[in-house]
Amino acid sequence: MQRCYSCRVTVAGHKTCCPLCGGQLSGTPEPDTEVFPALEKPRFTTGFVLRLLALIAIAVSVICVLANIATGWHALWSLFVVAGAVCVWVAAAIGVAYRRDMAQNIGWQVVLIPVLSFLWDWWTGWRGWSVDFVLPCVCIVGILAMLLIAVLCKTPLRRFAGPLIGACFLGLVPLILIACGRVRVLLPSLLCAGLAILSLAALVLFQWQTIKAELLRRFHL
Amino acid sequence: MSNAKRNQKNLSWSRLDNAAKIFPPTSHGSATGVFRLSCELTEPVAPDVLQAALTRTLERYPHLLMVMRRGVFWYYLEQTTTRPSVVPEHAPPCAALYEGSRSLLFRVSYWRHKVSLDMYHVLADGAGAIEFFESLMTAYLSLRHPEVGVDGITQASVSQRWADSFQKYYKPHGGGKTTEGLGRAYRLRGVRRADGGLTVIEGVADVRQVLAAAHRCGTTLTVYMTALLLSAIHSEMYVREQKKPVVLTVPVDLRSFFPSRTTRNFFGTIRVGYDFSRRSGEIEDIVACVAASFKEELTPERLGARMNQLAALEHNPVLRVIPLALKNPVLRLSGAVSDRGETAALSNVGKFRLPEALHPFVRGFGVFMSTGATQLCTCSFGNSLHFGFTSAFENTEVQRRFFELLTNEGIEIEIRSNEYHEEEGAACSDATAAE
Repeated sequence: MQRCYSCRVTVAGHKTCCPLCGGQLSGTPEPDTEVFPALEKPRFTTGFVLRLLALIAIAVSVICVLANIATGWHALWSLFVVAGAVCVWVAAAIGVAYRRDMAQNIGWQVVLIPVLSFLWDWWTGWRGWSVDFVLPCVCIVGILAMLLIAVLCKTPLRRFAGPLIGACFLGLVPLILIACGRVRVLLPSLLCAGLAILSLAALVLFQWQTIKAELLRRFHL
Repeated sequence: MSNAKRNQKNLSWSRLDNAAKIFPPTSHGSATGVFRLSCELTEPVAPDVLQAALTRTLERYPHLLMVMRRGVFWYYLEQTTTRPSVVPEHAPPCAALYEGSRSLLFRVSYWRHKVSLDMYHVLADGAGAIEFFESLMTAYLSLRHPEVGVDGITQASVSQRWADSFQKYYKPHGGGKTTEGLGRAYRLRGVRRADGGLTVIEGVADVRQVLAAAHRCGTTLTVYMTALLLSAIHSEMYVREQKKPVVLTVPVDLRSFFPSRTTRNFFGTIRVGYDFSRRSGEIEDIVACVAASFKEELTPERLGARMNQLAALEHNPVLRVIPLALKNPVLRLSGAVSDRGETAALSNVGKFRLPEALHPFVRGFGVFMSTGATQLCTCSFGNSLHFGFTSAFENTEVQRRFFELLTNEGIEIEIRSNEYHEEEGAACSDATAAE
């Protein structure tokens, strides 16, 4: 056993310094009496990956802003790059945060991408592409992707019911937009609404118990 | 839902109990909300036997097989088909367990002679986890040593164990008087660890020696240890900081006050403060002050009133309808405000019990709780008393001073720690001074 004379305690295991006072130890070390393993530090943590992505986004932004200044102020094109980098980082952050649950990941992307597109469309002088194309297409892809992954991975419905129902309800939004006369290109919106209604109907008709249980859980007060 | 097929389709779920609700929003950094129970054996652990024991024990604790999911208004627990496997210890003590809606909320790991159970506080409290851990270790040792002939301990029913006792004993208008806050407490200073983990220092002493020292002060073990910790923190304070009281949070097992056999959370906390600027700071005076506050606080009325106060928050109709994404920052803030009134925490989880015949195979048990500051957990088994210090700080002044107070009483202490100095022959902090 090792011993610290200044603390008057015995120290288990094999230590170079006293864990209490940092002083020198005397006596023979007994590595067999060690209680905690020496652990290897994890190489990549979630925080590290996100910080790395943030650094890349900042680097791209800085280079573009500097290049913009160097080539003259006539067109502020670097602002677009900065906003784009922020958007990509947010989407990637959600991807990393929900990497263990693909359905939820897709669910959040289905919400995020149309919202960001809407902001871009609005900022660049409203041409309506975000509601005409992005919202319905993202919903269609999202719903189909969730169903495909579920079939391929044989995931039980309760695992992805929440995001799927959410995406289906979002898929009904184009229908409301058509009713309000906000949509100029009808086809994507109609396809999207059709798929959403069909999926919801199938869920309600064949999986009502699962859906009900999921809603009760998710919305409990 | 007796139908097994239907059960598979619609997994059972449950709300988080009142005390569990605060953990998910406030779990970050070194305060992961995870605590560890460990058991040191006299021989190396056999992983396959431990796995068999875990599988067998979980049959009686099916409600621990839960994952935590996000609802629109609250988190909730949902039964899972994932089964745990015992793993070699690869994570630091009390490392975060919740990594999304698929992760189990407890982990059983082993290393050499030691078995550890890390448990997320959302699932169970100390007393609940101890019951499970005792069953696990009994199962393991009786499988490992069938010649001893030990049967499992008689247990409460599954529904008793999964009862939410906070709900059971909640009285909507059972206000009553609770203690007023002790104001802003002194906060420990120090450099937080670079890796965001915990500095773990475990001290082992003979319970008889410590009891004798407590009796010399004319008090009980818990009061004595609380007083020593207050005194140890005092030694680290600057004079100008002494106008703030040192306040310790002490969790109290409510099962001793309200009949319950739940393994879910059923604890309250009391706060014990000492003002070094107004009082002498002598250990006898601290002991007297601590004993007085224990006597005042540890009554069913006081604890019940506090419990009702916290439960009333949960039952508040306005708070309930706030979406989870907005609720989390609010709860985080209230956690931070509450932390300002606390210097450190001390938790005496009491005795571990195993069938007499298995005692020769066990050296002792240990308890550690994750914390954003410093926490001391104590427990005993047979004649060995374990002090589990966890700290988010690198410096170990409070721990050193605490053990110094014990050794001054002639108590022999063995120290273990999770610190490794990687470079062989690295200079110790006082090496230059010694030269």
